[in-house]
Amino acid sequence: MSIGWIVVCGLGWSASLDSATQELVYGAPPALVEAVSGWQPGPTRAGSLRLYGSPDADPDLVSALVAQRLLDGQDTIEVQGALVDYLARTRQYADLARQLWDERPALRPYLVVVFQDAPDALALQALQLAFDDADPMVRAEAARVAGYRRDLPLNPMLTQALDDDVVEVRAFAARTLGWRGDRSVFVTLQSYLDDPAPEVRLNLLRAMERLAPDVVGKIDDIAHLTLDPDPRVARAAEQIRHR
Amino acid sequence: GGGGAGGSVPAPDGSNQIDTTVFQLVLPQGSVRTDDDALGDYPGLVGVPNLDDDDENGYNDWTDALEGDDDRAPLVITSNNQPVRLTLIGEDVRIWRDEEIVLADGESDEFVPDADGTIRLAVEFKEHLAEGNLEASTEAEALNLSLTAAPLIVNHHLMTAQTLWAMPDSYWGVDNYAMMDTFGEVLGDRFVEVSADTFDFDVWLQDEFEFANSWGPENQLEVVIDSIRDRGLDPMPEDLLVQPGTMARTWGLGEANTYDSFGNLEASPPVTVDGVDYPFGRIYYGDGGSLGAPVATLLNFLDDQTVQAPVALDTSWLCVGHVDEFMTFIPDPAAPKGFRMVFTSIDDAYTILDEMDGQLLLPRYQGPESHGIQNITALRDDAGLRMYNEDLQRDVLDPLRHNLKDAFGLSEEDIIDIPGLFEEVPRCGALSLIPGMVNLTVFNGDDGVDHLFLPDPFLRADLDDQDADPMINAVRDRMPETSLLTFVDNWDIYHLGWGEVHCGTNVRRTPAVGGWSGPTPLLSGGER
Repeated sequence: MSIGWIVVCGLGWSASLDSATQELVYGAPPALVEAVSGWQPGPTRAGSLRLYGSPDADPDLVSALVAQRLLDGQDTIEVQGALVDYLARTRQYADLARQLWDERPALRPYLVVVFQDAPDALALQALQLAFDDADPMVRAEAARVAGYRRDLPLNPMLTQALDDDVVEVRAFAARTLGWRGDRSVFVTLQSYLDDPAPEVRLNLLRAMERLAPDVVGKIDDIAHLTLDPDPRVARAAEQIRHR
Repeated sequence: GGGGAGGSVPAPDGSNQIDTTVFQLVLPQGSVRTDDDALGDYPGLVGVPNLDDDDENGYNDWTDALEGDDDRAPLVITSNNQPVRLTLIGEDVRIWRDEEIVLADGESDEFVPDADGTIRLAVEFKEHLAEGNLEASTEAEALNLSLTAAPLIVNHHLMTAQTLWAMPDSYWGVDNYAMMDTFGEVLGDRFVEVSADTFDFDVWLQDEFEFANSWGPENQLEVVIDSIRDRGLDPMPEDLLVQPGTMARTWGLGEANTYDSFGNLEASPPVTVDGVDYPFGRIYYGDGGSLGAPVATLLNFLDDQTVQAPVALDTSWLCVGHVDEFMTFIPDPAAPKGFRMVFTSIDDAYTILDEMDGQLLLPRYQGPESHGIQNITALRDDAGLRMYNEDLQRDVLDPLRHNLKDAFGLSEEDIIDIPGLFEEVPRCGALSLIPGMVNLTVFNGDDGVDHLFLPDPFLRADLDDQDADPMINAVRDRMPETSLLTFVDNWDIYHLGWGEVHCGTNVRRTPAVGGWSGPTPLLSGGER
């Protein structure tokens, strides 16, 4: 076990790992602890950071050490983001993500995706927080991730997000409302078809088509949108009318 | 000399004899005479810009005014031994005789033929598409000759491949050595490894530079377009590629974005669109709209070259944002146009997935260092993933496919659909989930074999058994019979790093040198 970690853990962070993970961390060979602390993310083709490869050890142990490293908070936010990205794919660290949510606001845009595979109650609580976050990137992520959690009662948050100031939030909210399959929001979606952003109008159209393919083509608003100045919106409206 | 009145001498290209008794301007492809002056019209005499560095002193040859340079276009004037007055107009053009500059912009002088009855000149250009006019007159007659520097032509996949570069790399227990070995086994010494140490482990060979060429009847200039991307590979063009006859240049300044990478700049094979021939193909690149675009200086320059009429494609939906992520062109001698466009089909991928055994394990997709996907069921039955991909197919890929048919004059038979699937990267966009098999490298060498190197999709439990992979089998069934397909393991360093085979390679090609009479309307932008 790294002495450094014990010291850092004692500096005032309240977040902690669950006992099983802590046991893994405490029992880890020092060489592996050192290896994981030195495991630097490399740039992807787009320039963002990602952990490549892996130290040669049991994957659960490596994940636990990555979680501990994240908890230590000694890395830059970008590197911490790469650690979160790694942990998200284990589908095992939603509790840690929820704890870090309160302590590290700058990390929230990276943390939202962890709740895509989190237990229901935790995911619901975290996504509700995310919808109310001051950071539009966090709100957009919440609206996006909600599309992959159709089991959670998030429609009120999503319909509210259709009024968000930020286009990306509105567009994801519209898309997700379509994905979730609740036909009762159809009329709500229809009332937003005059959104100034073409990306939002396009997502509203597609959402309405998913929810009520049998009626959407007969709506007057759709006919108007065949003349939309944005060619993608006009094309989608035309397709819907002639489906 | 043995010329003079009543004599004949070799033409500039040595292929035939020219009559010295008449007043004429002799170019490699023919002559301009008072009774047949058509060849004098635009583009007239075509040469290459003299921008390489034959003496390798760090300055381009136009600046050096180098003696013995071989990048000037030859021009022979005969006049039955009469003195000829020459007047040159053209800022970026100058004329040499006997290794001396004898005319520059706005200058006029009288020239007496040599003993063989000729005035042997060489025309030099400073930049691509530099223009000038040479007026030649004797006491009795006058002729005009347009002078034009050839445009820059971005290479396309029907040009014969010479060399393939890639960079061996390893990182925390993973490496790309299997891919390097495969290239070596298939291509032998036509494959060259690039040192990772020297170029800061920047494995994205495709992104830093793009090969292009310019040519006239007697000259050729290879141009390495060096991106403003400027990551580890930035010095590679100067360090490894530049040589006499090959120059490197960067167009544009400032902070690069992902659209400045040259996996996002390609050229189609020759096409005809709405009756207009593009004998060197058309350039295409991805535009991210509000997210960014390739640097304007480069786009404007490529646009100005006119002959490859660039086409912008929407790549804002992609996380990385490059055109090589969803399409490319491959040679196919049996195809009506001699090539096919390969294009990603999500629908086809789901058709294959829906027929697979849900319990089939996917070792390469498992674990947090990969995609965290256990088996076919986890991939196929992810409702969010399916809806995301359905949206992409309908709202992005279908319209793009339609636009590409228009832009390149393609019909359905010219297109091969290749199964592909995307995942949604948070705060970024679409990224290949199954290795994008359209992101392939074409190596059609001078041995006549069309090698295609594609990423192995690893959609199978037994990683060593490619024959058991339904994605591979689907691609094999669709690709041209003459293509030799090699599915390479690009998983760890490339696929998980958000790129594939094409992104990690670059290929030097032999330009399809030809005359300039056919594409003249394109060269002039249709305005002359």
